[in-house]
Amino acid sequence: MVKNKTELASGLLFIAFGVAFLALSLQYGFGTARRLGPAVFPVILAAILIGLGAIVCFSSLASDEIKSLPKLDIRGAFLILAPIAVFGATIRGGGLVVAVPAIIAISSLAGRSPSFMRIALSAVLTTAFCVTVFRYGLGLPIPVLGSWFGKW
Amino acid sequence: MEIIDNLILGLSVAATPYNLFYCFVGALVGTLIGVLPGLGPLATIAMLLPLTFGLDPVAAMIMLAGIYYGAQYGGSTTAILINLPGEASSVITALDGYQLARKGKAGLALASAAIASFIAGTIATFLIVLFAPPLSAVALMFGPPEYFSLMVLGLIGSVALARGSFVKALAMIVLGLLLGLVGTDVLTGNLRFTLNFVQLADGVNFVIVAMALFGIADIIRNLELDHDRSVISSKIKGLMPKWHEIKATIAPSLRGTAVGSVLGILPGGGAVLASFASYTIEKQISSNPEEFGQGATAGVAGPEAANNAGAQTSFIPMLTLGIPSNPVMAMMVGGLIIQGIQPGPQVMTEQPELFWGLIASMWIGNLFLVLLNLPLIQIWVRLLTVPYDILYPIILVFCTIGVFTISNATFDVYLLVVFAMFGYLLLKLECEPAPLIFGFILGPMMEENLRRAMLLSRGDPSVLVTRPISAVLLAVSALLVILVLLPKFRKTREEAFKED
Repeated sequence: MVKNKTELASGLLFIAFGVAFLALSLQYGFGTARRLGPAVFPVILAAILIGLGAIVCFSSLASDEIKSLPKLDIRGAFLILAPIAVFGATIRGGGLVVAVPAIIAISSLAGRSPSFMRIALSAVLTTAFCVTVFRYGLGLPIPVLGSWFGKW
Repeated sequence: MEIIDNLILGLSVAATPYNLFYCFVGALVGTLIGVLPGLGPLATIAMLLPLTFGLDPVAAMIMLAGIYYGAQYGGSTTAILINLPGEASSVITALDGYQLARKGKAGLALASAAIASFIAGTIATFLIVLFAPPLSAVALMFGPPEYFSLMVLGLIGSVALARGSFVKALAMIVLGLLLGLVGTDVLTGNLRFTLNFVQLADGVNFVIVAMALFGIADIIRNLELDHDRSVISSKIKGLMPKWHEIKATIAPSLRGTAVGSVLGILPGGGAVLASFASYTIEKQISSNPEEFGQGATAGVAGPEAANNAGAQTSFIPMLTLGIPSNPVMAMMVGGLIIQGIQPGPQVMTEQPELFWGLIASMWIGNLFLVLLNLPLIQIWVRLLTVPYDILYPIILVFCTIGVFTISNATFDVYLLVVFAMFGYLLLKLECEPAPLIFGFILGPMMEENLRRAMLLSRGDPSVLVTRPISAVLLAVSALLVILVLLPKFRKTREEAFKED
């Protein structure tokens, strides 16, 4: 029975990445010793990564420390990551006035006691700040009002 | 005298109103973001880096340096006031700083930190002026094999001398090196690891990785933790410490500066190790060591000075060799490359304004920080009383906009999601992400130097061990690995980096 499952999982993660990078690297050319091809350095690295992953796995088997697999906060992670994707999907069409409130509104739900008024206030102020500073202050080419609003 | 000439050149560049302005803005926003709980210098720099894209290279680097110092200092403020160190180097500051704050001496703790940082910054700037030119001369003798071996040493050193599992940290470096190779191979034009995404042809911008790993993944984790965020905001008074209290911080500051300056230059050294070392020294030589952990001023001043001196002198290898000695410097190198400057010994000779201007602005930045922080401390305190539930959505907005503005690409925003997910998983598996970003930035440089070395040696890999400097660098790397794996040293290392 493995006691330190966190260690084991991280070792396996390293091995998985090593194998994936190795498999992809092998498709590229090796070149010659004088002119190393694109495969050489990644193959060496991937092999080292697999080796290190194996060491982590073995040491987890030998470890006495008891650690179960970490619990992932799926809901929290989703409520933080989804709004970023929503930003990506709405910034061109909607612009900052849609994308920024979207992030504030969705991500605030991950907090302890979200209140509508607070979220609305924060969304308005943050949007105003971003438009002023990023668009007009720094002159970054971010759409304030996206293409959905037509041209005017 | 040449040194004076250089200094004057630097000051004449840094003290133009334009550059002074960006130095000031950098220090100000760096502190502003750095004060926010849970955001260390890496996250702060990643978040603010896009602000510098539109500037000319000199102003961009000066602003970036300002951001860096501001972030460091902001982190210390958070550590002292709410015992929530944003990164490893302010863990030590939190030990005694927070205790002082709890006793109603937050002002003393903050002022000691500011004064110590300023003393350290001033001395370290002069050290850079003194040592950068000779080191640059040495660097010009470095060929590709030496560069390759130096990077190996830097990478190994950075994890050997840090906390946490050594093998996992090594694996994170290697993973970072591999991720750094994603994109078009410069030599052959082959697309590597792009998984058929055209958008990945130029690789992944390091700002995305840094922001995902240090900004967003941390938010997810912070929301899980139930912080005891008892801010001692109401009781901050007596901000200006008494003269005898200031005097008591000078000696520890000088000792801390000495320790930090030396450790900062070492590959893999820098601020974290320096503050740990200084704390240990101060505790050893103190006449009442039992005060440490209960609110000893020396326990704040020494490590803060060491931290700042180390941060400053770690610019030496970055500027002279073009090789970052730690993850934060790696970000600075990334910032330089975005500006179209390939860091290395040639920068000093080819772009003396940039080189000396940056160094002069380091000192000016430190001055700004003292001037800024003592009067503005009430504002930072007010900022700390803002509940995290209001702050994190705003942080999220800034991170996302920052990523989007790198190249106006929504693809980058989606990449941010992917890397943040990955970063959260890594945090949960107790894999420290800093080595990954270090490897990520060094990956392409290492490959390039390895290839050049092989070309020069006509395909003989032994060139790495037959050239003396390269051989020594690799030998030291090997020695470090062996040392860390030795059971006796391993125990000392674990104890040395224990937080309490």
